Amino acid sequence: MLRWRLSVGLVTLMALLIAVGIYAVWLFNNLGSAVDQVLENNYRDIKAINQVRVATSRINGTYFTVDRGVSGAFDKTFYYDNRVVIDQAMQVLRATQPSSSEHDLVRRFDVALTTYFDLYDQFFKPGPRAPADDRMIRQQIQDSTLLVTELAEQILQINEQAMFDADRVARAKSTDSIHFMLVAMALALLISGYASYRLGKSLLEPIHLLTDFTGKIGEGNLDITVPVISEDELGKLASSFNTMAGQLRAYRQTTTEQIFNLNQTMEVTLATFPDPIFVLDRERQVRLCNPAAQRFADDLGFTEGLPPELATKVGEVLETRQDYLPSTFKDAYYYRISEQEKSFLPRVLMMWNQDRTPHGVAVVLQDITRFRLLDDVKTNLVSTVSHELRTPLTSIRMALHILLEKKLGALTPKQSELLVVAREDSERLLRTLNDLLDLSRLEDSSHELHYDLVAPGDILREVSGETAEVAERAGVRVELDADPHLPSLPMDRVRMKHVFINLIENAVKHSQEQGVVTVRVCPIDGRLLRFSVLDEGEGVPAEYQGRVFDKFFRVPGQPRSGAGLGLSIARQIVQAHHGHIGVISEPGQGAEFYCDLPLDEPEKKTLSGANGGKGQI
Amino acid sequence: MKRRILVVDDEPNIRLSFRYGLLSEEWEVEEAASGAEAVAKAGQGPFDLMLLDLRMPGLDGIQVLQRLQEQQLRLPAVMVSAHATTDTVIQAIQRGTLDFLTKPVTPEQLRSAIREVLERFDFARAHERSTVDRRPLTDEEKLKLAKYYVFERRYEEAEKLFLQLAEGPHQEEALLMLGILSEIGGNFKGAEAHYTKVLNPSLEGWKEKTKSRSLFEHLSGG
Repeated sequence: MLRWRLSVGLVTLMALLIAVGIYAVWLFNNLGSAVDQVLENNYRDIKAINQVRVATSRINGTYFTVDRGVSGAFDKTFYYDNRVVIDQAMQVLRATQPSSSEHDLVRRFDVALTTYFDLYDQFFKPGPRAPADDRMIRQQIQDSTLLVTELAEQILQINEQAMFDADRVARAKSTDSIHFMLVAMALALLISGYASYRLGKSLLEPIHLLTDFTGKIGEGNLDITVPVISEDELGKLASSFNTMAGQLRAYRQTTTEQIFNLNQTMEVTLATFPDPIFVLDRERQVRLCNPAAQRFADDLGFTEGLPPELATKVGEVLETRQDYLPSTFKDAYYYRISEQEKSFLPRVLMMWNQDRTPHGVAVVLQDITRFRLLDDVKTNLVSTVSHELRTPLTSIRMALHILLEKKLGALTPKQSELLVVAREDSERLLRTLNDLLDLSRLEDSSHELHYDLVAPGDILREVSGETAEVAERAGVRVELDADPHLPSLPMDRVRMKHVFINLIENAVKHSQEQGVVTVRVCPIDGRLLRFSVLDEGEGVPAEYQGRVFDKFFRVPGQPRSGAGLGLSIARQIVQAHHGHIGVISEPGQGAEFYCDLPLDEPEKKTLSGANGGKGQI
Repeated sequence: MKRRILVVDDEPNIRLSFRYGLLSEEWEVEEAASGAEAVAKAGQGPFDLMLLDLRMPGLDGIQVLQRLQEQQLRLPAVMVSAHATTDTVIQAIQRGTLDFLTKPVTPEQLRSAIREVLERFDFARAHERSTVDRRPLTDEEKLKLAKYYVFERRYEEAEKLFLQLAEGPHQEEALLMLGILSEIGGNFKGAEAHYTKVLNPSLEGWKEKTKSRSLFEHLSGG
């Protein structure tokens, strides 16, 4: 535990500090009191000794030199007062427990004093005394005083010596204490220095390690592990750091794997894709191309970039940021590859970055050679078949017409009837043939429309005029419902008339006698005009509504009339006008065939014609 | 005197039906079963008109016109075809033939086309012969004459007339013909200018337009 370690480090230092402090206080206290004790004892003794000396001196001064006279009567008051002083001082001296030498001296001093007082008691004894005795006593008192003085001097010396000794001891002790304190401080400094060094090392080392490793991970080196040195917070930090690095590693692993897999998938997909694909960056440099594109480039013999017409398209797409997705043969490019003319439909798609800025473009060259061939075969088949049918039809038709002209001879009514039927069907056959031809021409060149501004009312009036005869024959009334104020719109008049005539004739065909066919035009959203032809016939069953515009499709169960090409042609024409053709019908409720044409300008639609030279008459 | 008409077609059925269709007091019909035979017969006897099939084995219609041109044989022709391309139409016009019919034709269409061409040539030749002070020509007459000049390869006179017609009701046809005449003269820029006037946007546009039957009928005078 880091906290514990920190606490241990700091507590050790504190304990050391406190111990040294307590010891120092105790030491100084001890030192002071010891000196005090010695000084106090000795001072008392010295004071007492001095009192004794003074008292004896006073006694000697007062009484020793006085002649005692005969009676020896003395005023002894002064003597007793001093004797009390001495006794008190002696009590003090006796109370001390000094060293043995002093004790011995005090005892001897005590004895000496006792002798001294005994002598003075003899001295003061009343009664006559021989002068010699007196002298002898006096001599004895003198000697006793000397002894007392001597002993007092000795005791004083001893005490002085003791004071000196105590002072010396105290001095030595304090010196020792200072040394000891210095050592203790040095020791404490060493210990605390070491502790802080260890603490710092144990704290900073893992942090430095972590810093290093974080830097390395930041540089992307995830394959490293921080050594977990301890089990404390830093250790936990290190191990959670390792966990994080591990997760990052795992994440990178999975991400790398995903990217790798994705890349593999893409590469394989691109490689197996049969059409050439070029990926270009914003600077129009080819960044990627699949094997098909590589072969394409090799076959055409260009080493970098794209063929000029494709490069132009790429430029256009990058400029307009609109994908270029053509769908017709006329937009195809032709390249001669290994002695074979190949058609490619170019598709140029924008690629975007995440922030919606252009990243580049992808160019896909869809190989449509086969479709083109199939289409050619189909087109040629239609025209060839039409031609081969027309020639025999010519003599059939000629023969029928000539016979019916009756120039070669009269006909019986039955012969006439048969010939009329034959002529009608030959006409129908011709119409179907022409429709087929029209269709193949339209498919070949539906982009070649010749736009005029046409008033919707006018064109509908024209077509209802042209279909009036057919309607009249079927006993059907055609009603026109067109607002004369509708705007004119661009259309190929001839072809749109073909569409309307076809729709009206269909409607008439599917009407009962006395039925009404309504031809109507109305605007939708201000962007479109809807031209509708409504009948009151049997309607178109829902399941066939999506197919009535298909080539050769006829609603089953309806009387045969035509090859089922009319609506297909109509759709082709309307789509070439960028319009939409459709049918709304409820069975039994009639049908509404409509075509919606846009009102906008036709610039976009008048494409300059290429490939027009194969026209047929 | 009956007009002599040469029917050129490789299909015997067609030749037969045409013969019966043209059966009348006006016309005498001769047949040729191939291009070569047509060229030979045209050289032998005078004919007033030739109904010429475009697509035939051997010499085709255009080649027949070419041969006749080479042999300095002037024979008005009506091209009859089930399947003609713009190029063949232009080639025919360059060889003096401005009249076309699409198979299958009705006897009436056949007859009226023949009458129109014969009448045009009659008028033009009569006009050429007459020396008296002429009244101003109508547009119809100018058109006939211009077409006759094209047949005669008198292009400058034809051009003059077409230029006059380019302002009138026959504007479209006149401009087309002016374009073609410019092309014959090698002036493609001028041709383009004429086409551009009448059609959008170019010769391609014109070629496209000639695909429509209405214009074909227009050209063929039907």
